[in-house]
Amino acid sequence: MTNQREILQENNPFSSHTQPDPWVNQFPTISSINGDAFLTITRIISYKQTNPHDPVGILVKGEAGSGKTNMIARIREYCENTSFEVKFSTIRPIINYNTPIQHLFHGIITNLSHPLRDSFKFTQIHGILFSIISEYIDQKEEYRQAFQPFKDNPETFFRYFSDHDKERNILYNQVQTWIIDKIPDINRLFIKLIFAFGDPDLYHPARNRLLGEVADPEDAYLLNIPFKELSEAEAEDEASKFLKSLGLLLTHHHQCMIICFDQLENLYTPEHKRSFGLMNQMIFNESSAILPLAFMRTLYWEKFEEILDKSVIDRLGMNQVDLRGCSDEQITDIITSRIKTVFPDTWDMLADWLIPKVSLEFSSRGKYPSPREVIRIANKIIMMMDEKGRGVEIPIPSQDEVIRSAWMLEHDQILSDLDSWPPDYEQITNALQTYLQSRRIACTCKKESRKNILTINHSSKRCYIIINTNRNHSTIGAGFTKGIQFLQNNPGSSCLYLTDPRCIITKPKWIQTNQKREAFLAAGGQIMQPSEGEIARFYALYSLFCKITEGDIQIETKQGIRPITHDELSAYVGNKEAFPSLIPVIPAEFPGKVSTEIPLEERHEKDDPKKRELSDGAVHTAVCNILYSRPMHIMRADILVQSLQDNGISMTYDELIIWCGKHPAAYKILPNQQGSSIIATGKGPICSDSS
Amino acid sequence: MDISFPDILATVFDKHKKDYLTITQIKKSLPKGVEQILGLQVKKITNTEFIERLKPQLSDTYSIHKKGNSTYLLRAPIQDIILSYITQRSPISIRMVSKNLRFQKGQIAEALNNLARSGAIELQIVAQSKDFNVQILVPEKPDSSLEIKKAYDIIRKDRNYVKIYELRRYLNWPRQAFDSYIQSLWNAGVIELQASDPQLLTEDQRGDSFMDTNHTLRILLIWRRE
Repeated sequence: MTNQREILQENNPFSSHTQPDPWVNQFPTISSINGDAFLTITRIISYKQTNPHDPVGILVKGEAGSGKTNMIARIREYCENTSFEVKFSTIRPIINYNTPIQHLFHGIITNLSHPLRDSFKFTQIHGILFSIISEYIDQKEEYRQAFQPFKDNPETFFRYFSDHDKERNILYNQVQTWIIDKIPDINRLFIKLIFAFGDPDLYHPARNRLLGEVADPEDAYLLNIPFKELSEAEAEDEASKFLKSLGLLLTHHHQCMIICFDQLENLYTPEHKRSFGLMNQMIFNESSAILPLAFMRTLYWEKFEEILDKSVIDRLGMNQVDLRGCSDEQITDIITSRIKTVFPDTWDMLADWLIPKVSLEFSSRGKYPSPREVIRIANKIIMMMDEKGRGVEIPIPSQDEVIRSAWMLEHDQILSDLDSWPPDYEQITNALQTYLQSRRIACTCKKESRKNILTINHSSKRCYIIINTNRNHSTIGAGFTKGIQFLQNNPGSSCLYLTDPRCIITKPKWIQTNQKREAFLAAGGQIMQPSEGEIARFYALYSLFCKITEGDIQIETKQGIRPITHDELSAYVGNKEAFPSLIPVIPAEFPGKVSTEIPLEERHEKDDPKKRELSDGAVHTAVCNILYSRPMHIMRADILVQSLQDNGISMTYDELIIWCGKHPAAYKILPNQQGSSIIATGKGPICSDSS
Repeated sequence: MDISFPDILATVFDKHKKDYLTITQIKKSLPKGVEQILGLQVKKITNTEFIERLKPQLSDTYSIHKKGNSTYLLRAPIQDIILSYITQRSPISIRMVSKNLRFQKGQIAEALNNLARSGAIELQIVAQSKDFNVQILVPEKPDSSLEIKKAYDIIRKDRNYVKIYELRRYLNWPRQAFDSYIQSLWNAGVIELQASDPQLLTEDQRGDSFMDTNHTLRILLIWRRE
């Protein structure tokens, strides 16, 4: 008979102790942990809703493993429970400190356009739009009756109107005019783009334009806005106007928005810290209904205090919340809830076995361990007991093993939720620099308008890498021109144009861009547009780098527990056997095939929906049949891929992770030592039948 | 759990209820499994060889000390050991201290002078029939937890934490006494110790922070309950 130890070892709920992403629900929230801190935060949120012009902020201080990212996920859950009347966004550390407001607004739009439901592309921006439309309908007696079925159901409203273009366009035009009359200071372009966002055919160009990008005059025409390519200064100014307008809209509807600034330890230089200050000055002084929360380690705040403007320090520092360690009861809660998630039927027997062992371990270590310490000790106990329940020495994982495990977790989580990682040339550049430095390849980075250029001098060869994720045809064309010039001036050198698979490279109508692209290829240039799985490696490397800066990846050694260092990451990435190349050798015929196709994110939506539903159904059935034949409805992702193959469904590991990520209600992706495991939650449309 | 050599050594000292032991005593008290860690058969080598193999395993608080024909391993600075001994027996004469503790007279004198200057002990001259004797007293201290809390409130100003090195330096208690008070308050759930980022501290500041039993450096102290 299998004992508790073996059951827990096979599907270990404690193998990872990092909260990967605030949008991902791996394990349930334990309300008592940092409960006081959370109550303070929600009290201030309520205050901000009723006092939108009062410039308040919150500083959340906590050490590595104390639950900062978990608290952000909990705030996201809180916003979800208000049906996103309180909007949620989280901002990653800024890289280009010259464009702070664009960075801020980019982060806000990324979160506001993150899908909220499993079945339909419903986002917080749809929620904003629905609030405006509801208010308009409320004061129009003739529409009230017709609107009744949609009253508290925005998703049904947008689904219905996605098939009724004509009626939608009439309604949207009326509401736009009305809201601009109601809030005269609001930016008209912003309102136009918010409404275009609610049109499924204009969703992508509208979102891109909100981020300051427009592909070409055709997209501008579709959006019914003037075509204008913005300079950096204009884009910064426009981001400020859009942010103010968003605040005006939220204030008008008695709503507010939370902005969580996370991983602030990555703002190394005074310039980076000052740009963080500028973002907050913009929020405090020029916006309304927006509440910033800064999450950082205690001693780092002391460093920020030396540099930030006093008004920012006062306003962020006026509400300080500290994340604390766990009480004995909370230790029990963490263990129970994790076991319950993975073993919903047999959790009590397993918890009864593990809890006393963990409690005994902490009895001599001092009180109030951090949640991460609890998870680490639980993991250690599970892994060290032999079949007779005796303690045995377990080898301490090496640095490479710790980094590899963190890397795989990061990669799979990013891949399962690429919406949280929109195309970003700064992050790709950062990852590439880390990679090249790890391989001892010297490179220099030149920042150009909305793109970066890396120059590599290696073994007497020169290589130019143009990294661009902007969708504008001029920017793309200018990238090719740069490449051509470089190749002409440096015979025998090579040049890569690197972009995200979700970004367009060119359209058939872009005659000049196509000519430049052809000339670039003819001059020996190469275009690299990695797959989603490959691009996730770039973002994962960047994310891992940030987490290491935060002290978030830790290793247990004979001398105690310490954070993994950047040098150790570099050694891991520099090992060709452990870490495959980020820039694969590109086949000669590859560039010709990239050409004029629709970018990946638009391509998915233009597939025949019925066809997609069928293939989704087939995958659901196969995955459920396999998982429900297992006692815990859980299986390692790599083994599941093999089992699917045996059932006639051909999917790669990456494809399975992406697919499960698109069905978060039906499947959870949990980390294990070998990558990820997939667990059926029983909430999927087919899973519930097959159970 | 994973047991390291310093853990084993601490257990040996605890078992003997002493802060210093002869090398022979240590060799006799080590458990069998330790031979794998040290990579040698303890009982088959000389004390000198044993000491040489031991040194790389020892943390900074340990030191080797010779008196007469015996060699001792000390697990704390001499001054801390003397204070700990006196505290348990106060009042005690200087002669008794010198007689019972296996340190040289010069070392004892230096430690007592330092302790007297810091206020940790008081010296009282007692007239005897032929001579004078010096009695050592440990002044009645207010509750150590109250002292620590008072210092905590002074140092933290408007913050709700203190850095342990600041608290240690402010109180200026003997190292071992401070660590033991902090550990007991932590075990009782009165305070919480957090790790934070050692890279933000200087080497001295790290040295004056608190190393927990799991060898994690604790930097911040937060008062959780009165």
